[in-house]
Amino acid sequence: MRTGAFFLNSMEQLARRRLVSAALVIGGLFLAFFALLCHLMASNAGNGLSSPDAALGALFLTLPSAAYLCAAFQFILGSSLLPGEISAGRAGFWAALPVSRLSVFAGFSLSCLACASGVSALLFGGIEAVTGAFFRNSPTDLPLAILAFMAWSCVLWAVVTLLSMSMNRIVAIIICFCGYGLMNFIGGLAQIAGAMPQGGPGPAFRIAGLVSGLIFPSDPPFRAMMYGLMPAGSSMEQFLAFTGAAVRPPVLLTLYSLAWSAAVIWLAWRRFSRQDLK
Amino acid sequence: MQEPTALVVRGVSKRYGPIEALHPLDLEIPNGSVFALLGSNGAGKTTFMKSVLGLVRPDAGKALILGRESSDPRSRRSVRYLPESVRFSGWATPLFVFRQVERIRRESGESDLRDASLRLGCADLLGRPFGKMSQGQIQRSAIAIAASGSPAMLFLDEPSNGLDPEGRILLRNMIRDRAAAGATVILNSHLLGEVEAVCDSAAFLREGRIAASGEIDSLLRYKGVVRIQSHSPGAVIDLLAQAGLVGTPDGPSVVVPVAGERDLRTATSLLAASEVPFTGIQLVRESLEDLFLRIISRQEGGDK
Repeated sequence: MRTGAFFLNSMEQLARRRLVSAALVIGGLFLAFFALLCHLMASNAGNGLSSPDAALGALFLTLPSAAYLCAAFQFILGSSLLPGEISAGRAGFWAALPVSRLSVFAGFSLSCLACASGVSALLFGGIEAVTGAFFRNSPTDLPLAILAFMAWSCVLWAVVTLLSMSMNRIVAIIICFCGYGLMNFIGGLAQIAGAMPQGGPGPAFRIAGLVSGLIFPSDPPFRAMMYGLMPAGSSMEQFLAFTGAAVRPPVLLTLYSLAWSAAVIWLAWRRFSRQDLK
Repeated sequence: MQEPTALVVRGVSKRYGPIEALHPLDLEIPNGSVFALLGSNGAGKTTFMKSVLGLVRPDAGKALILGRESSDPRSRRSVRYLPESVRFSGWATPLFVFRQVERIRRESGESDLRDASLRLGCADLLGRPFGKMSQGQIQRSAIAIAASGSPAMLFLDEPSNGLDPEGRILLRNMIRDRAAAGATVILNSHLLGEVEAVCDSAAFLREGRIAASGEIDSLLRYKGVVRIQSHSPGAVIDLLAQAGLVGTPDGPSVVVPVAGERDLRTATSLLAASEVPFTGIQLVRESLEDLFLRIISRQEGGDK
């Protein structure tokens, strides 16, 4: 099995890509601004704002936008690595070596997952570390947050891998990003609907949220990650309940996301294995 | 133990939608030969090579590379492939690509790459990014990466692309060296002069079918032409007509197509026994280009 060699090769290539260094720079700037925000909030902590509340507020403001940044990076990277190798004729060059196609596919696509997840983990970890440094808070459920983060990364990776191998790269990025945004929006609506009194449009939105979560399950693991990373003991929790950030989501949805990712990546592999390489 | 046949192809076919790129093909290429795949654009040469290497999924048939089915990655051990067009990342250097390749194939070292680069006149390019090279320099470096070490088989798809005359000579020498070392070389090329200079056998592909194949020498000899130099071409034509040979005047000489050595012997004995004056007789071997054009036109004329 030469998958490891392909993985290393691919990571070496990624380390030289401007896209990755640009993502690291943007992530660094993001953290710097976030630290500034936390500093300002911490300076005002004495004016009736408790530390857990300040931490929750900071995280609630920051995590969704960080997630969008990470998703964009994942989509751009995922759509360029293996499809890029195929369109440049290098996939054929690699596949002609004494190695199985599975190794080529696994090496390239797993390195993409590792790189995107690594950059995202640095960003989310950095956000959590900065919050912890300023407000001395600790996450509600770190293991759940890690599991949900992995599931969330896998969903984005799997969908962009499949779509970018099936259509034009730019079209794939647009579909992935719009799909991600839409699912996030529907997920939010479903959460709000959950807080509505019985008899309203709540059930319809909740069903829509559930169905969208089954079709493209990027939102449930994201909300689970948010829940896991939020500080415990904040008095603002109840006010944010409608966002789902303060409600422990069912782990089953996160596990479903992982299973969904496995199925989608299998479809991508199936496509690659049957593809005629340039 | 070395397989006597480097490549065995049985019934390999490939269709792209309505286009039959390869009709079921059978071919055997002996070990140690330098084999050319010839044909017009779109004849199926590259598809054939890629089908054999598993890069294109054939609709039917199978290929054995060095005794192993090509679907088995181990069949590509000691097998090197130079694609017709590969775009390396602009920042990558030949040395970087070679290290990545060797991390997977583990067959040769950097000294082998340096040796191959020296032979191809591109040793000074090993550390230069591909983005700062000309097309010819990229091609030389790609050939060096593919041919480094001691491969048992080399698949070269249009290796002369972008090479200058010096590069072509160095490529020709490299192919000869590899063949002398026992490697089997399979070459796709439009440059028939290059092919004639290095290849010992060839297959002509036309619309996905093998129109002719065999040793180049035998293919050319079989379709030879004799040129008889004489100040009396008419007398020569009349004389040859007695043996059923058709001569055509061409200035102070007569050109006579001969079907084989027997015709040649007949023509020379007739001339020697006669009083018809002639100053020379020369067996004009067809060039590969002539042969190529004849095979293509024969097919176009429906003579299959």
